[in-house]
Amino acid sequence: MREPILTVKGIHKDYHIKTGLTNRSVGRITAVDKVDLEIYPNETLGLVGESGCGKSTLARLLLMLERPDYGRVMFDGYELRPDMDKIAIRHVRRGMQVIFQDPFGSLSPRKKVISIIEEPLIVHAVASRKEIRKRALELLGLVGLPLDVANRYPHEFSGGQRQRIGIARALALEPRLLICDEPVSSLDVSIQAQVLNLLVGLQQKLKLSYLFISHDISVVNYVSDRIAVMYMGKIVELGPTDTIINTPMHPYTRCLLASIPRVGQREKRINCTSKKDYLAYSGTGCSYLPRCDMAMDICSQSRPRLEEKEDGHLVACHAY
Amino acid sequence: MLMQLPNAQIKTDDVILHIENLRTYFFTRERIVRALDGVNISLKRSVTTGIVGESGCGKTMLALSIMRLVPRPGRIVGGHIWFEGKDIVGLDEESMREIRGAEISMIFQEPMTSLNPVFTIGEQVAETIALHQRELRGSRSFALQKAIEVLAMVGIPQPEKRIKDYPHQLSGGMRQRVMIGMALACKPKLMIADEPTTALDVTSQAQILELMEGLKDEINTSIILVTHDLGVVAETCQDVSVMYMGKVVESSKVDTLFSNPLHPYTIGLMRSRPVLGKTAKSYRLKPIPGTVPTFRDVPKGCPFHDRCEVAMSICSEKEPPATLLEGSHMVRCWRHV
Repeated sequence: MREPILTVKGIHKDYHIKTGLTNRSVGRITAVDKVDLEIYPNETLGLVGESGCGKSTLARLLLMLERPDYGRVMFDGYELRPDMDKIAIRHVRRGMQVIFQDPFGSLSPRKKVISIIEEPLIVHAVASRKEIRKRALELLGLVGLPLDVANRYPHEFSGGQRQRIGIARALALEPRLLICDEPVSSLDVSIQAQVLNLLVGLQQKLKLSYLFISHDISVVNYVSDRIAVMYMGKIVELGPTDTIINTPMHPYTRCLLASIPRVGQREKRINCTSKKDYLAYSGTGCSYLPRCDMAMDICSQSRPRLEEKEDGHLVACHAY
Repeated sequence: MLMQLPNAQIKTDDVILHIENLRTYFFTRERIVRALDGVNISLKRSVTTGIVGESGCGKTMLALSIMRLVPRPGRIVGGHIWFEGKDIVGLDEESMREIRGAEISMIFQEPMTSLNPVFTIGEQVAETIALHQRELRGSRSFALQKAIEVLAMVGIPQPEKRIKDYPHQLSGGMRQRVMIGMALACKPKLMIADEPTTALDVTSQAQILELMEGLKDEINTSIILVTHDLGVVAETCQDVSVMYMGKVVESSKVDTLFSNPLHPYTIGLMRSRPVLGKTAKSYRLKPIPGTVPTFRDVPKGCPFHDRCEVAMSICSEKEPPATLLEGSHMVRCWRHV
């Protein structure tokens, strides 16, 4: 059995709804609900779910950009805990980097491309200035940008090129794990394909692991070895890509798959209502219950746990 | 069987909108940007027509031109938009206002910014109705009653309570339903939907598309669906036009386009899209090389030639003409002349 590069154990985050002058807490929303995850070396784990299901929060918790309420993250032999100080976290975080969705908001408009890519190298003081410059230029080549862009500013680039700059910056410290939070969602289809192929190529070349977050199952399906489906802060199904796509078990996964518009399938339609109408649901039962088309009595009484039903295929549903 | 695209005005009864050589230019200090450069499209009655293309191809400008809402410094500089046999390009603002909303209506991509945050949705829907149905002016309660009917029609639960809600209290899907309700309140003959589901989750998207489909039949409206997603087109449209750099490069029946795409750009778009069930282990996406050129440096000849893998020498010299093939399949490519 291979050792996972990243292990997440029972990570949890509540947000409090505050009101009034005294910031009194009047309620809470569980954004990430005791999630367990493992990512293996050179593997891509895809994470899908609708907006607001907690995908991005989970990514931020793994990186300790946001401190979880409780839970542990083991990365590459180190442990990250919510109560650790910033310096210690920064040291571990060198090995896991992140690419964000918005290639416009995540690059400083006042810095030249070369300084953006050099910044992590300077922060972590990995080498002399001269070597850092050399390394930054190498990175530009690695992500398929011409060297003469080095002295230009982010606003001069298109969305796809900006995303390449973001990828170069993330790769600067030679991370072992890259967290990609909706990296292609804001790009046009033709550019999206270019960036996806770049990420797949880099993974093979640099033996990277990816946590690939997206709301688009077709995209996740393309890049992932395994897929985790998230619903209201919980992983509801997890398994090898082919299994999830071809023989999904959880009614939510089936609903997501059936909702994708595609060529030549005009007829079929599972009617599964939108999640937001049910955000308020807070019973003791399964959180998917209000939308579920195969609900049973037990579903309103106890919350199903994520359990292994077949080899490597985990589902949180009472029906199995 | 080859023939030139007919330039003469088409006045058959089943055509609701016929766009002929439409040109919308933007006049900036440095240059003239040709956002629409000779667009020809014919829309049949009660049919959903898809307009596909990537950002900057002019698809939104086409929608705004039909509404005669092109923002400055842009304006329609030539061509005709025949709506019900009447050219609305030359129409004065007063008469255009009669058509807008009542006969042609539009829904926008962002349901949050298109609704006014300081009025309840009931007031906003009622306003639309009262504006266009004169007999309802001055009768607030009756217009509100109508608004409830409209919200019920677009599937909003408990509409009599929801009319008192403000836009921020509704989810994205619900807001888009309100927008559709406003657009269809006056039973227009044509509805233009500009990326109506792009900001929504797949599950909400499926519902909205289904809703539009159902209402189209009920009200007997023609729909122009502007989108970047070929999957959406395949599922909801009967006709489709693919746009690139302000021009329609290919148009046909949806089934024809997917079974026999001809323009290299259309083929490129289809190959760029990940297919469910195929992973990077077994195949690679084939992206279109390069990026969409900016309007600053429009390529000479065919606007697609520098990204095209099957370009010939003529492609960089002369622009390909529109060629009409069998089954009203139009393509602008030297390979198919």
